[in-house]
Amino acid sequence: MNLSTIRELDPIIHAPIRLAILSVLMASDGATFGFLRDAIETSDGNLSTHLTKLEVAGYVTINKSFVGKKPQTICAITELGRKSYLNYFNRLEEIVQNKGANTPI
Amino acid sequence: MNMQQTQQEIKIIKDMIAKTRRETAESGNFFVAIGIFSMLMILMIGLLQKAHSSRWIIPALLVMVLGNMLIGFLFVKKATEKKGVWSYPKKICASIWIACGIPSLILIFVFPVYAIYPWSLVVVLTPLLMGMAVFACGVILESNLLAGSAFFWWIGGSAMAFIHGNMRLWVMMFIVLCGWILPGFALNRQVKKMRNTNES
Repeated sequence: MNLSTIRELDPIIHAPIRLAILSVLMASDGATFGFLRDAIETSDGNLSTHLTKLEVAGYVTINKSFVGKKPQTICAITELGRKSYLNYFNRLEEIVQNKGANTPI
Repeated sequence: MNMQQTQQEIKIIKDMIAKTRRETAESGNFFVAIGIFSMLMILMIGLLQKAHSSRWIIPALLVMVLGNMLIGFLFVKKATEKKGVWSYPKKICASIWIACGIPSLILIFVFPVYAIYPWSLVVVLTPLLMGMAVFACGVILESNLLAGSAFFWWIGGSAMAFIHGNMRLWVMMFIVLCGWILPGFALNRQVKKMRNTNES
């Protein structure tokens, strides 16, 4: 793999937790903070840090509301996040195909 | 980034999508619940007819429709609040039920009251409308059985135009059984199987 391939991979998504967050949000219409934490199996603090990074990049929206007296944080992927995720996924596929053709796994 | 890292990332994507799909998959419980409730209400209507208490039939019909709407609302609430995740297909299906539920309320309780058409036409028109909702949901949820069960609604609804009396209640119960309850159980089995496969 050459240097340009690595550069083309979005650094915002190129972290396991953030990739996992976007994968869950891509497969759903929205998820609560609790669901994301349990699905990804990470801590509240860690998830919060990565979600903030994604929010700053404009890849996710985070809405806080109340269900009765209980606070609820709902996360959803944005159009920009969706496009970036698909680009990232396509790049991964290309990498696997190119490598697979050149070197045996 | 080496091949191992790439494969690890693809594994993360696959795992997360599988987990989300597992949680958002339609369990079929909604169809079983509205099916059983409707069956009980149809039985009650039959008993009211037998007891010559026909003035209670319209309130019983109202309870049946509003009860089904309440069950739908509770299922959506459970999905959004307790599970904490929801999917596009389920959101679209909920919209379809609302889109078909409101016209069915008008078909059952507005037009016959104003004598636009006789009450007997209600049992013909409502199943045709329900068939549309069941078919659309079946296609969206990728359940051929559910989509196929719409034919019970359409054929049953059409048959209602040619049959009369108590026979209509039996046909209606048969439609509900084949058009809601059985596909609901089949969906439930399918989801359980999917969850077991993913867990093992």
